[in-house]
Amino acid sequence: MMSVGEVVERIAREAGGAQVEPVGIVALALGEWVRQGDVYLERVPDGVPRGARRRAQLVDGTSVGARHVAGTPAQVFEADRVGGEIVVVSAAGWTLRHPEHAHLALPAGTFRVVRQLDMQTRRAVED
Amino acid sequence: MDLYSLTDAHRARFGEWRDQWIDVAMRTAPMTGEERAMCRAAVRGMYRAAGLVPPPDERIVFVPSPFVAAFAGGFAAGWWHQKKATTRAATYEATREATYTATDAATDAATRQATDAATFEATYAATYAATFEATRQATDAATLQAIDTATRQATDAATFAATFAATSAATFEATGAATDEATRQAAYDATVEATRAATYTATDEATRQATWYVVPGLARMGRVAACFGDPAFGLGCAASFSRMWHGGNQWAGWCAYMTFFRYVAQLPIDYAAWNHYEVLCRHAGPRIIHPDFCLISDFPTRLAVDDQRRPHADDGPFCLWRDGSALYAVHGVRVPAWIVETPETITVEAIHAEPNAEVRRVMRQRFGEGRYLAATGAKLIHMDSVRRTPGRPAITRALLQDREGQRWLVASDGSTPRVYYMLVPPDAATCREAHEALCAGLTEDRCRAEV
Repeated sequence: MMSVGEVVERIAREAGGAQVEPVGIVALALGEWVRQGDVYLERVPDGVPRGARRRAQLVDGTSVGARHVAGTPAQVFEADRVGGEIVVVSAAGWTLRHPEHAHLALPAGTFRVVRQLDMQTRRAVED
Repeated sequence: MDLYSLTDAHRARFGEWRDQWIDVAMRTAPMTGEERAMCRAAVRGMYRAAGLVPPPDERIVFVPSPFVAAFAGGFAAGWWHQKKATTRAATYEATREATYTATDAATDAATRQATDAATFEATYAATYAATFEATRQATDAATLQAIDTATRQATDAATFAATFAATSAATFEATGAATDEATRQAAYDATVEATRAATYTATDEATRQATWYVVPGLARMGRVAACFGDPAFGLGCAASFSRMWHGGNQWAGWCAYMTFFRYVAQLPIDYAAWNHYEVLCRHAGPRIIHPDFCLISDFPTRLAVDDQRRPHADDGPFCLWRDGSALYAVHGVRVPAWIVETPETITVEAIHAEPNAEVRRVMRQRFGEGRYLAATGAKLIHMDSVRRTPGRPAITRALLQDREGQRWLVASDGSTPRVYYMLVPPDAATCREAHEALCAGLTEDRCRAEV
């Protein structure tokens, strides 16, 4: 049985060898998702309700200016007024970029943006 | 007609050009007397190029930091507005709307340029935060309209248009003409993008997070503003500094691009007006442009970054100006000054109370991981190892419980060296349950990649 210190040390050691090369996802079925840091993208049916078009940055960071940015030809839309999340729609393959995380090459489709919950603040994670 | 095609000889100079302008953006040596004289002449030239009467020499003032420029510029703009208001009322309203429209458009363009700039963002964000902090108690709705009028001057936009915008348009036209878009893109990537990438994160994009900046005398700014008339009005004008703002050396990325075509490609463009802007970019920091005065900031005395060009210093501010104003960040994360200056005062309670996940992580690291685990009395509830990203190794995770009964999921994100401690529900029994509780109903068996 590993001690708490040994486990945390192992996690840190593995993190130190993290790879930043882009990751390509050829296909994503409805309901499947990918994560880039604290942002999750779930494939949802085309035509889900959505709000107005917004800028390509998915999340507004406060301490590091977290820039999860949807590359062309993806378009980003505000959450529908009656609820839901920001939606990304792309007619062709596109890339979710971030200056510190590995880039994610994703297929065409519609994706809802889910923010990780921070239980300390009861809000989406603020970074 | 295609005026320019990229040659191998020109391409070979990209690196040199990029590095030259990165040095300009990261400069920490103070302005010299000779440079001040050059900048005064350049300011005069810039106003004249825009068809404006330049301010006299005594109203082209050098200040130690962008914060001073913003506050002094705001107070002065308010004072000049109130001084002139009594003599121009009759014709003012008639022309105001047209001025508004023209200035709005030009300022918007200038702002977009700014957001693409090199070491601009943090200074800008911090100055915003500082001026708003000083203003928030002082400005009521009644003064907002007057502030708007006093600071929404066409001068910054006009001088920008006459110097930078006109020349950049000519450069784009020449280099982007006909079929040679690729040439322009290549040069752009090697100059603007490279310079920006190397210096942008040194100050990074920001929203207002109080206390990662330190401005000496900030609490007394209301009294200073009162020396120039209504303090609420003066502070409000200071908070609108961006309407009068040019980035100076902090917009070096664009100057790298423009000057590459001026000096290396030697495009047949009239650079006479542009030259004023270039001098001010190379030899001075940010400035306030107003019809009646111009304030020019000196360079910081310290500007530190880590090996990834992120703003970083763990022994003091990463950016420090000669008047003591300062910005703090640890490996790109803006943190309150006390976390850097007095890390020995960090406590477990303070770590848990910090609302920002990245700041929390920095606090924990500076507190000490081992010490943190011991202080929280953490014990291991569950651990696993998951491999969900094609071609990537498995990631180890752990679920810990502290002596208060709170449970924490400890994990990296798979593509950065960072380790996070995430509070999870106390009834989470496995790492999977803990993670799924944080991601709004998503289940791990549908995950296809985590980076």
